Amino acid sequence: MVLSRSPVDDVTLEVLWNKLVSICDEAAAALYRASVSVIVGEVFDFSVAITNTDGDAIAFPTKSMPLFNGSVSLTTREILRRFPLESMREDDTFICNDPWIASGHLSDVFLASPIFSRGQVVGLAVSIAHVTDIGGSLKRIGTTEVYEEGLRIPPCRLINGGQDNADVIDFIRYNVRVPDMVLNDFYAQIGAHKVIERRIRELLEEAEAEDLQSLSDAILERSEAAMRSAIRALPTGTYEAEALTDGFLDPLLIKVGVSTTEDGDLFVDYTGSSPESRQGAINSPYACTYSETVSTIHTVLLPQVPANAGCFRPIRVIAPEGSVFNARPPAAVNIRTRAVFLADPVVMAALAHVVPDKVMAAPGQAGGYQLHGSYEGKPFLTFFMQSGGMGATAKGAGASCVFFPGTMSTGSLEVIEQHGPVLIRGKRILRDSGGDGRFRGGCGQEVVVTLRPEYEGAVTVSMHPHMLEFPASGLFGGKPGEVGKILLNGERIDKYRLHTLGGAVVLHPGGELIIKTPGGGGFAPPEKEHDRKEKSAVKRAKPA
Amino acid sequence: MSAQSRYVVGVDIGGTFTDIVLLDRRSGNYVVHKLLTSTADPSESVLLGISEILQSAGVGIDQLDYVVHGTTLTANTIIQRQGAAAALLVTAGFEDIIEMRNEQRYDVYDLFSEFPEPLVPAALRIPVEERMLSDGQALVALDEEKLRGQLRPLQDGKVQAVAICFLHAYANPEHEQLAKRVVEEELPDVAVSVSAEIVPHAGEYERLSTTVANAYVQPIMGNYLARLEQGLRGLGCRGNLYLMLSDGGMSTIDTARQFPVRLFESGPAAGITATARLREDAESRHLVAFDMGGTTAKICVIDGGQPLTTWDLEVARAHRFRRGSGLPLRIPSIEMVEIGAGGGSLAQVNELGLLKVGPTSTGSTPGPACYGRGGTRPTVTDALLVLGYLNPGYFLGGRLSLDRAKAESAIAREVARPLGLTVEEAALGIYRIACGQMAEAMRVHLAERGKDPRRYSLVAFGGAGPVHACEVARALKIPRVIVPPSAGIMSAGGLLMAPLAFSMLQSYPHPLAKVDATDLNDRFAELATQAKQVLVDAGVAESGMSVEWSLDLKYSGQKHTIEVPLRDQRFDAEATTAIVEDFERLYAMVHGRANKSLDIFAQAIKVRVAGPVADSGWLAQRTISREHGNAADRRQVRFLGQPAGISCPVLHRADLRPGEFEQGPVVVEEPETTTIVGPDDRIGLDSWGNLVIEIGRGTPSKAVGKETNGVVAFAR
Repeated sequence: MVLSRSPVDDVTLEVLWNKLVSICDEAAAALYRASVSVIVGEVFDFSVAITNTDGDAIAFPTKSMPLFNGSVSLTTREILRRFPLESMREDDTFICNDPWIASGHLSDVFLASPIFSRGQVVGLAVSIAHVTDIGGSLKRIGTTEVYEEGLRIPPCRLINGGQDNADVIDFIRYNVRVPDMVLNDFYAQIGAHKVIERRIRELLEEAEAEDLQSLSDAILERSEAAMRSAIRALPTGTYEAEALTDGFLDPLLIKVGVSTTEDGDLFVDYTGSSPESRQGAINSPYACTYSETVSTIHTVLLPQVPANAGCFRPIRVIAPEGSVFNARPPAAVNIRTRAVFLADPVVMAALAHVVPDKVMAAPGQAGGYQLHGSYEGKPFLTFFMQSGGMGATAKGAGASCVFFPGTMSTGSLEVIEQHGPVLIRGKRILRDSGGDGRFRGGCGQEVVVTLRPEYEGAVTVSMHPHMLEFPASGLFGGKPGEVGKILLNGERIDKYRLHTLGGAVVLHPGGELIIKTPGGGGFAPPEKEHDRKEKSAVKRAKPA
Repeated sequence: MSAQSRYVVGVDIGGTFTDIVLLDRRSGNYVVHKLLTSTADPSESVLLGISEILQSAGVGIDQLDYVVHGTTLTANTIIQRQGAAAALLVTAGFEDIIEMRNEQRYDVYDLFSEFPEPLVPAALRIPVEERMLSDGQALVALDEEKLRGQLRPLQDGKVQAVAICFLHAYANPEHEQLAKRVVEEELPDVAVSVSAEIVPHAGEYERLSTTVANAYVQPIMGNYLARLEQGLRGLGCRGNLYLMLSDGGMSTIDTARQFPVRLFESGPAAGITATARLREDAESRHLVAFDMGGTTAKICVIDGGQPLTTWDLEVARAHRFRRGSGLPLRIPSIEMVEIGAGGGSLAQVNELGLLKVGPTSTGSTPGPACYGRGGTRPTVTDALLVLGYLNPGYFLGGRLSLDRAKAESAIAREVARPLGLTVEEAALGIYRIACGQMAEAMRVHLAERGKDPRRYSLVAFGGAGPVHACEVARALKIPRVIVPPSAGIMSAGGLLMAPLAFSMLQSYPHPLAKVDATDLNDRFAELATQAKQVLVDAGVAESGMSVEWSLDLKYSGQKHTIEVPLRDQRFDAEATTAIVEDFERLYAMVHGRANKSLDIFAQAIKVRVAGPVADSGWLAQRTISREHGNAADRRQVRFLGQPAGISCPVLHRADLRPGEFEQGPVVVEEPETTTIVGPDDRIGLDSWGNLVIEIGRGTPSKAVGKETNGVVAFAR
């Protein structure tokens, strides 16, 4: 299997491409198995990637968090700009969590290590993992400047030729609530990078190649060509959609225009959307908007091709500076998923004009919960995630209680109860919460959270529930799903109350927090209505 | 098992054929019988087959000591959703956990993923007022009268089984036991499955899923075993009936009735057991079993005669090769990886202009193009034929003749032309991609468990295994490939090598440093006593039992555990030191280094008790005769890394002599399979009848006897 500088043949490309993805899978498994946090080990909020020496991602794991797929290349390029290849040494690892360089909020920490083979850098092993804590306010959505959100780490060396950079590590240690957990997860990331380096060296040896250049070129060029041809298969034109969605107090207006050209370029334009919010941490830096947007286009138009930077080359994302999709420092960005995840169904609604059978109605998005307190003399800090219902599609009903567009997993209730004072009194599917339609949206759920009766402390629940006000819309006349609801000790926590509280409520023993997650939108009108409108309903109806 | 017993029978039921082996334990002679499986009631073919094999061997049924049975009934019942109407009693408020699963998507890029339906519909999930805390304290007492009222509507006889699974029952099973008594009183005719008896481990969804699956198959398995037992008695059999469990141990019929879910991998476990007990000259400590058939390839790692086992199985996947799309079962099972590559896997060029092989398969109908049964799309088998690996006149021992022209035209149309390759190059590409996929899956599986492929031998069987084995081994730097002689009856034969055995698992969530030694030893002893009782009931003397204790350990906060054995079945300060060392060593093998700044946490304790192990040497084949062709046969064969086809000798196992090596390239043809040996390899025969191929050692030589660096035992 000789991989020279000449173009790679089809069969070799297929064999080696599979191998790159399986290397990423192996590294991802090494990362989550070594992690000691719920958010990485159980919820799987992380990804790894292999980039070429330009910083372009050439492979991700099979189950990569799509939100990270686009930004990885942007971040790695910036790392390379500041630390040129020639300055890198074996066993270096670089760190950065700056929201405008990395993945959009401080909690997602980006690490990159050069892959050395026979004395030269042949690519980079990179990973992003959500840390359990990065310091800052526990009112995670209630911040108004990034300075309140915790430690902001500029691109720098975390590991210097195999030696911990003690200054940087101490800075982190002094600034986070659970430093051992946070630092261990960094080492889990670095362990995953080592797996990648080892396997890439083996691959190059077997392929009798000096570097990854020709393989990388082939992957990026083929993927770009495939995406262009998928785009060219669409009629050229501009397809629009807009929606009013939950903001933080004031609603967000999300406007999307998708344009395609004969050359196979695709533009997603957010012009006209809300300006950045001063009310709370719901703003997205451009890189994060870009990342989620290109992943959505990839999922709809080219799901069969494994993600890499080539798939994203034909896509341009336009978001005016100062808008919620291109927030400027020092905007608060902690819950930037409010903007980008809620934009996801609007992008699909725009695409629905041309590929109605490839998109999904809006999913019910639940947002997230972080629990903080002390238990048996130790700090207790964990994530607690529940999903809503998937949106329906042209092929069938949406699944109930499935995370989307994240790829998280819910942890075990028994395990959560073993490690903290939390006592869950119920977790049920809300049977009628999916939007009606020819195909119904998936259902959300209700979770009842209390504390163990003998517990004497209190637990702070920092939350950012999406869709309390505006539901997940249906498509082509499908009905919206139910909105989410939060009840604390019987009192409805609406957007005003949530804003006053900065998103953090305190739960005491004897108290009760009820979380109802939103249902997904339906697809096409419900049967009765549909009968009247006959078969042309889908064609005539406008995406909601 | 009495000492003077003479005849034993192994019965392996497959989808198409039922294989039966009758072994004379005194002489080591055995007879094999194959008949069609009676799919409506598989017990019919078992009983018929046993009568026939005994008759043809002239053995009276009263001379039969025992029958061991490997069955796919549990697997088929769950996969085909043909189980009993089962109800679920679950802590009130948690009726939907079984349906919500872990809420994760298994395919990130697929908006249209389907998720498996739960085995119990919402209407049959009964909320029970009760609640345990994580430390085993009862917070809400079980409301017995209310439960009786809830059960009464089920007395109409429609529900055949009940699963009981309460939160934290692993920490305190009292409420489950009380509910079990109430169910037995109110619904005396239904089978009851109780979560803390099936898997007393934290993790409500996995425990629920396992308990429900057990209930779902229990009535079906109960009826089947009753018919089988009655039938055997009717024939005059006085011996016992044993069942193969998923972890390669065998159980009595009572255990199988109580825990039928543990039979899920009963069929495949038998073949792996035979591989684990393989007799061969080199006495390899480390094997990878590689079984490739028509639709999939399966691999299993075997260290020191023990297949790797797991308590985390995922079965009945909505998407066959996507982890996360199936039902989790926490049962002890051999750990297998299934890859979507088999002889029937389809080859096609995708929109990127890349060649893809599998996971879609033609199955047996219409089958590969070369079968001439209406299939027109190219498959792996078609590529093998074009490359000269298969003999068109001797496929399945000549029972099916292959059409090379049809294979060529299918590959030309769908692969060669779109890619601008010759038909032979396209076929070689299909072969290379299939080998690459299997090698990748094997590599990741080994790497994730900290195993070094260079220490392993690859044991290839199944119709397509030995054709691909050398290339797969080469890609992984595995130095040896072994092709055993009795590939066709590995499963049925394996049944007669399994010990009676029973494994138990219990949650024990404690930081290792805070474990109370007395308490832990008591817990182990109690679990061991329960497991031993299962074997005592089966007639195994306690003196003949081997007992293994192990701990599932992790760093505090991690989810994933590493199993560490307790060498002397005793936990004390000295043992703790050894345990920590073992844990850190195993951890470093996977993650590069141990992390001494973190606390080690004990997650669960495990006990396995096994009876005496039977001999396995009888399955070897020392005398072989040639069935067709002659030793001078040659044909053109195209190998990877060669610019063109080369003339290659076609041998039979009988042409090889122990102690001699044939220089590759060589094709070895047998009725069940074909072994392909590359130009850089060499092949020999060992004294047990195994083909032994040394990868990359094909320097022209006719070495006889003492090899210093290879198959040492050839000098025997």
